[in-house]
Amino acid sequence: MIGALSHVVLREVPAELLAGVSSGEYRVAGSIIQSVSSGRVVGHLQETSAISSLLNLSPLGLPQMAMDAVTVVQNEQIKAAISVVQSLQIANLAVSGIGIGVSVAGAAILAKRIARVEEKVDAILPNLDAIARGLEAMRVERIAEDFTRLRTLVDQVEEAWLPSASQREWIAIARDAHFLADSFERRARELGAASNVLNTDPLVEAFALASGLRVTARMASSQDDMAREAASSRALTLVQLGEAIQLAPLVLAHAPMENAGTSTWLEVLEQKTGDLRATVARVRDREIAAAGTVETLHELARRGVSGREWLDAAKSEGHNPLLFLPVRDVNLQQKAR
Amino acid sequence: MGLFNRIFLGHRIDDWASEYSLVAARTLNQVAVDLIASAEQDVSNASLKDGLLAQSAFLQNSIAPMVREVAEPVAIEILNEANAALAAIVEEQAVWVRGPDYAEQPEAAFDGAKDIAAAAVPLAAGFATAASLPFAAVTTTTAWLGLVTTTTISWPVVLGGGALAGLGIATGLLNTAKIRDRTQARLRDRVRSFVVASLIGGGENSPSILQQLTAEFDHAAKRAKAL
Repeated sequence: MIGALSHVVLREVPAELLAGVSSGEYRVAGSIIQSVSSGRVVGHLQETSAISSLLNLSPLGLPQMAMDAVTVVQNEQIKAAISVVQSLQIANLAVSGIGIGVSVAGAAILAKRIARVEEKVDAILPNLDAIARGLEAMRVERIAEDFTRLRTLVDQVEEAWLPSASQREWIAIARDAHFLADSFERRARELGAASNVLNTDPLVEAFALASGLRVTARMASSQDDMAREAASSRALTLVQLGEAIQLAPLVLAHAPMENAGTSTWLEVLEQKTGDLRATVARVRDREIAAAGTVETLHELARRGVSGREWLDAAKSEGHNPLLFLPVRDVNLQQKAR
Repeated sequence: MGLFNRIFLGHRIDDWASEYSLVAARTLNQVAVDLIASAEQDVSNASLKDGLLAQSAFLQNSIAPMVREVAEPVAIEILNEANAALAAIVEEQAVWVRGPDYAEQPEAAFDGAKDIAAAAVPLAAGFATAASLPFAAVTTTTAWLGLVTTTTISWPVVLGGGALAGLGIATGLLNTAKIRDRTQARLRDRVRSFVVASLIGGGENSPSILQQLTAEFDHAAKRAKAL
């Protein structure tokens, strides 16, 4: 139910936009649909709580979910919803915790996400060299503590949606999430300075999750200016943390010089390029998705929609997996005057 | 320019730097393979004097000119292509910024974009003007040629092996019958090392062409993103 926002928000993405995405006229960048030729943002996507129902159709996660669901689900409407999620290529956005209102998709999904990130951290710790392992920022028990606090925050967010919760709860969550995000950021920076920059990725993901909760909490507490500020800061920090993750330097660092000047070196180069391209693309997608949330928050402000209204609409929508906020066409408005 | 487009443009410029660094790596590696193969005839024809006592001179007189003759136009072509690709990215972004769609954008959206749009204007006049742009010009041909001219012959890789070859003779480790084969093998290694060091992996003080190009692409990307 989008209630009060029914005059600005659509429960479906217009067919012409879907067709435009398929044809390459538009691209989806995070939660934004943008014209490829003009750069104009034509609309903003918001995953709703209905997406968690779709996720539950498959234990393997969204990409697999979409395939499974199309096979097993008889309900045509659900099939259509899945098709939209697939065609907009935003399947991973909901589970990445990058989009606006990271908790809208539900605590269970976020908890799974946090568990996966923690597993990744656990996997890199034994492979760190002695110097990196000795960093204060990489003390295992401290990192585990931070992940516990992150899970607790997700639970608190769920509680804060309950009717008896007040703005105070949201503000407390925002502060805790801010502190936790700073902690993950510090760990990522220290580890990046002492070790292979790719090792920092799970800590950066943890930062993205914690800082996303901070943005959500500010929106839910009707502190929209603070939400915009937090979202901007989050996007810029993600860009900074990802700055050293560049394809060519990583590939060339992995190509042994003793083979240079031979076809073997070229083969290694091609293989490493293939291996690392997806990793770099994922980092960039995360950054652009975070930047997209800033755009959406500004668009909401321009349209006079509060962050709380936006979250409430997404939270209460149990049918369609996505809400769509079309951007007003400035040209058409000018022509009409 | 808004944050979203700034980050989007930054990604495209980073991709540009990486793609052309990898283009340079692939191309220069192939050049190295070809040069090493084509130098084989020179190595086979090298005299004992060349192989034992005048390796540096052999590299300087026979190999270095060949490396330069082949690698120079290749490197310049890579630079030209990279400059043209960067100019296209800037031009495309300038089109975005010139459009009326940004009229309602917040946070002084035009400020940064205007810089890029202004910088992109001369590009339409032709590629030659790209070199005058602070970020589109990766490096100038003249500067690059100067660098190659002054550094190729004096690189440590050229000097080190000669001393070792002399040491082998002095200690009697080599018998005369095998000297030619072994000196040729050593000369072959020296040629390979020289070509690789010149084109792909040089030292800190004598960077290879690939290292110079990747450093320039990286600097150009940083400058472009800072605008």
